[in-house]
Amino acid sequence: MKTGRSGPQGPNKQMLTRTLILMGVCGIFSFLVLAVQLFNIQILQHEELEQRAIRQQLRAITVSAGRGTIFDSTGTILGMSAGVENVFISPNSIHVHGEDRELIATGLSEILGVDQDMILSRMENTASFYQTVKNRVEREEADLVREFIVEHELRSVHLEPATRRYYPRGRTASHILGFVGAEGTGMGYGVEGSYDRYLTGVNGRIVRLKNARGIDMLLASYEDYHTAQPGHDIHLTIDVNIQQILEKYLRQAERDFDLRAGGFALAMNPQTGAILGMASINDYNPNSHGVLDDETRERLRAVYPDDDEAFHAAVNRTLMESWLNKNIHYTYEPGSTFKLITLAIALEEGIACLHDGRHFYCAGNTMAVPGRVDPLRCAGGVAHGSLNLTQVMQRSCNIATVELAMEIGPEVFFEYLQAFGLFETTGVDLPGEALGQVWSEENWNRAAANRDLTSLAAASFGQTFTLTPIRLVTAIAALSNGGYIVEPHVVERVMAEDGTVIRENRTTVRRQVISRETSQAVLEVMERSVDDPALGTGRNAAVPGFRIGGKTGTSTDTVLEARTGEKEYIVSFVSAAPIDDPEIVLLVSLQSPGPRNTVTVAGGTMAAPTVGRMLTAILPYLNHTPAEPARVNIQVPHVQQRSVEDARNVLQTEGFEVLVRGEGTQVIDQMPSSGAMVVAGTQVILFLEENRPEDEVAVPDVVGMGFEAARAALEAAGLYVRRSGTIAQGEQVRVYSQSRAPAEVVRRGAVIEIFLIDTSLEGQ
Amino acid sequence: MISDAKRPRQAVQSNSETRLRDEPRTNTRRMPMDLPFFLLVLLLLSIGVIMVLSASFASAYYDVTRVTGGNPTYYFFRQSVFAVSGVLLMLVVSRFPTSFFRHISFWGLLISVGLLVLVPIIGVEVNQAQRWISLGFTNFQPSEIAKIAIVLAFANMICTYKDKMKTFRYGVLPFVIVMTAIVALLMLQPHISAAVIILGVGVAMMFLGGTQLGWFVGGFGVVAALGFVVVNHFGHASARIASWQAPFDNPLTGGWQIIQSLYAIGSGGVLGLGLGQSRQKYLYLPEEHNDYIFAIVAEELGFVGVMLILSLFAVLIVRGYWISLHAKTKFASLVAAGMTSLLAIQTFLNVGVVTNLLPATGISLPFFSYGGTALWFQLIAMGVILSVSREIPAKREG
Repeated sequence: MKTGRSGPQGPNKQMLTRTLILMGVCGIFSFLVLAVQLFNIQILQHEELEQRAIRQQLRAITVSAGRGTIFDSTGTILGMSAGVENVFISPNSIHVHGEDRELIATGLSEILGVDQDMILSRMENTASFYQTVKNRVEREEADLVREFIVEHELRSVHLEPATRRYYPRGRTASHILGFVGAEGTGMGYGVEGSYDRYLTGVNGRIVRLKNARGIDMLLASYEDYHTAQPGHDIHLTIDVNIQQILEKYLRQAERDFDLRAGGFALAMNPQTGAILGMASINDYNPNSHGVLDDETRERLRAVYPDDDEAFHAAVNRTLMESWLNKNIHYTYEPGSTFKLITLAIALEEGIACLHDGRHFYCAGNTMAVPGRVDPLRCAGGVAHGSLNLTQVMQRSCNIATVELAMEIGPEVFFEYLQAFGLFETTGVDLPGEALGQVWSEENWNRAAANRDLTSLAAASFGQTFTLTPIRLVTAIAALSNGGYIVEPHVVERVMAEDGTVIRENRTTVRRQVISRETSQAVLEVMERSVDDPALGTGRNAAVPGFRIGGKTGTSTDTVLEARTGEKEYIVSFVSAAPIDDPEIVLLVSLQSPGPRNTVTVAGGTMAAPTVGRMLTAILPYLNHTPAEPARVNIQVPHVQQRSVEDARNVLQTEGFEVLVRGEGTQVIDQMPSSGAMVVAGTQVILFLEENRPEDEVAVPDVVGMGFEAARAALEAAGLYVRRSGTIAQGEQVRVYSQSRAPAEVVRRGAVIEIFLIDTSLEGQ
Repeated sequence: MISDAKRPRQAVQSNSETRLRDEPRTNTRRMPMDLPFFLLVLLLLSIGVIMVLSASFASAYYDVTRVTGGNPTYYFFRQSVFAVSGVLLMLVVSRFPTSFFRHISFWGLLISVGLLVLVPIIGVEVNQAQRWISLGFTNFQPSEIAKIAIVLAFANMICTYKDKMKTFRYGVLPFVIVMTAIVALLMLQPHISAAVIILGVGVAMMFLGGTQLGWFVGGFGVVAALGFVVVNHFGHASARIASWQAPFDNPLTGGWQIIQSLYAIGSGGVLGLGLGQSRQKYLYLPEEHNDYIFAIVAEELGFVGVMLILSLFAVLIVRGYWISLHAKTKFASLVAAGMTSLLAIQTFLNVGVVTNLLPATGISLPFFSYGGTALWFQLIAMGVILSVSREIPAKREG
């Protein structure tokens, strides 16, 4: 140590050299190495690394485009999207900020009605920034969640905007509308499915720089907007009022006739192909399409009280069946409604003529058809005797119809089946249209060559082949619009938000099948089937004051029969109105009347009065005024505060009878009240001294009575009568139902509607 | 002066005699410190503190451990206080004569070894490694003291052994024993990066001190073998090797940090995103204001800015060796070269790690990385170099 301190201390030469070497290595060489590496990263790999960095830094927020609104033809909203919010938690944030899990789970569970344990289990994944608590939460609930967040200063509970599909009319037109799935897109049912690409908008995006926790970067200003393009609006040809009329009376028929397999109704404008209404009893609520209503669930539970698996399978099957629109999915034998087609072919081919005086003879059960073992019969084995062509249809005679078909011949008949479109879909703009089962041309011709006319005979009265209701309506429409097969459609036009028409479904005529003259003749026959109170099988469809035409039909559902082992009838009525220039073709088919039904199972007794009820409501709605004088029910005028003489004159001119109570010159009160619709000839009581009595009376049971007897019974009880149903007169016209149940207590002077049916009709 | 070394021995001899004659005067009348070196330190420190503000802004704001209380300037403020006090420390240290450092060198080594022994006993554990001793207001790593102590102690040993440095007994064995002891203590924590630095600077000192070159070749073999064992047996080290070789294959495990670092540096391009405009600092890049601050610098200032800063480092280091070459005594020369080498090794290792040239390990960037006591010891080391610079005799004209 001592020598070290005292001796010469400067660095020696070797050390200086080595310092210089170190200077070169540490001061220059090492930095050159770093410079090369940095050049490599910053210049050569710049593009790639920057892209990768930006990819992780940019977060795109999808701005969901609003789905288009669905309007009916009157502008009523049937389907719309509304803003809701999704509630989610960030388990990572809960973990990092140490927020109270129990508090959050309990609070959210109380507000949103979500299982608390589910929320707690979603909090376990602490790496996640997004766990859904509840999607599509309404404004009120979302506000409660916001209050909850503020109250507890939570940093891990969030809301984001979303949309939800609403169907304000619930079950109404559910089969036409369809529904959207969890992703908010159409699910292949209804116009939500078939017009999905129009209804769906183009989602927008907001691209922002986000930090690693997904929050906007401070001070960073990069933002890129792609505006969302909202979906287009759909304007339906459906009129919600007509739709509701169809649905209402279908349900009434379901109750009245104990329909076990449902029923459906389809109204179309035959001139344009626009569907006005389309209803099927097996409907659902598109707002909750995935949930079966409680009533049906209980009914199924009763069927499978112990078997959970079978019960759930039945629930699922029922649910999925409820989404099916029978008007386009279901295929069935049209029955005698199809005789109109045979008639049209015969008229068009000049085989028969309406007023040529030709008579057909029906012996009931004697007709032999080549190739057929047993002789052909009319319904119930009835012998119609001698019939002219109109009467053949009025009375729906199988034997005469087959005779016409024989004269037409299998080749020509088959050509017409093709022309009427039995081998093709109608082209309706709804998803999943079915095609009926029809003979192949080959089989048909082979049978014809072998002189086997069984198929021809059966086809002439609508049996042994199937078609969809919409196909039948399209064929009947051709009979009533001058012979044109039009393509049916439910969407009138698609419109952009700014009012631009994106697509318009104009009337598409496929071809003309029959001439205008033939069409006129068929309509005339159809009218005779309804307006002839003695012979028309469709007379229960008559609507007082309107000219309507129609044809009954009865067939069986062989598929269902195979399953149940019982007779499963389908009774139908197809109609056109007004007959001079039809604006509506309406088909109603009712399936499997059950044991509680009390009338003869036939199109004329079940489907025809249902059609009558529907048209009674629809025709005035379509601005058709009933022709004088066939007004069955009339409105009671307001005569209070008028002189007795004045009141008496007014009432008698309208067609009422008058009874005066008390002494005086001024009418103080009247019964029935003004504005009530009651049957013509009703006796109106005028009170001159005091107000009408306000007591209550019990409704008598008038079901099964004739009209006059029922009226007398009701009037005796102090009630008034409004008549609906058939306008036919006679012994066989009976009250089928009454609007207030027997023994129900109502105010004196109330109006009871009685529904009348002509029970004298034979089958078909 | 460099030319002096190339002069004939005769001339050198006469020169040193002259210096010997002047010695009492120079000892009492110390020269002013080396201004370029001092200014370069201040310049790098200023840039470093500003970069701490930029890099730490986001993480301080989003701080979830609530250390910063969400105050975005938290780290900047603390770093500024340490920087100012550190500069004062540096100036104080620079006023000590170099002989003082030789006096304390043995004790310095003893104290630092003692502290390293204490670390496993009273140390504070951070990130699964026990490297820190708490001072109450801040923590410090005894390895920082060891780095300085080993330079001073080795310089002293070299000056003492003089010509015996050529032998194994004096030129190799004592140094290896000291280094092995310190490295062993560091591996207990474990603290690989400090061990690497200690080894690096120790070897540099031996190289300067005149140890035969053959020993370095042998030593390199031993270290390579040991390194292989360490890498294969220390779990967190071998995982680092894997993510170093293929960071993009393990993005969510070991590769995350280096991937984010490369994203940041790569995003910088030629001119950078601009001061304060880093996007990677928004919680993507961990340790963005500590060990990985260089990546943020590269992202914001680009290739041009980074080259400028590395040039400043390079110039500072060259100037440090220049001071060493001109030092009055052998001890001063060795100390200056050792401290400069320490700075150079730290800088190279840090930038090497951040640019994925080297496997990831926690080495801070001098003057830039956030960390008060580390900054203090760096500035103390600079103060030692400045002290050496003050004893350089004024150039005689003619």
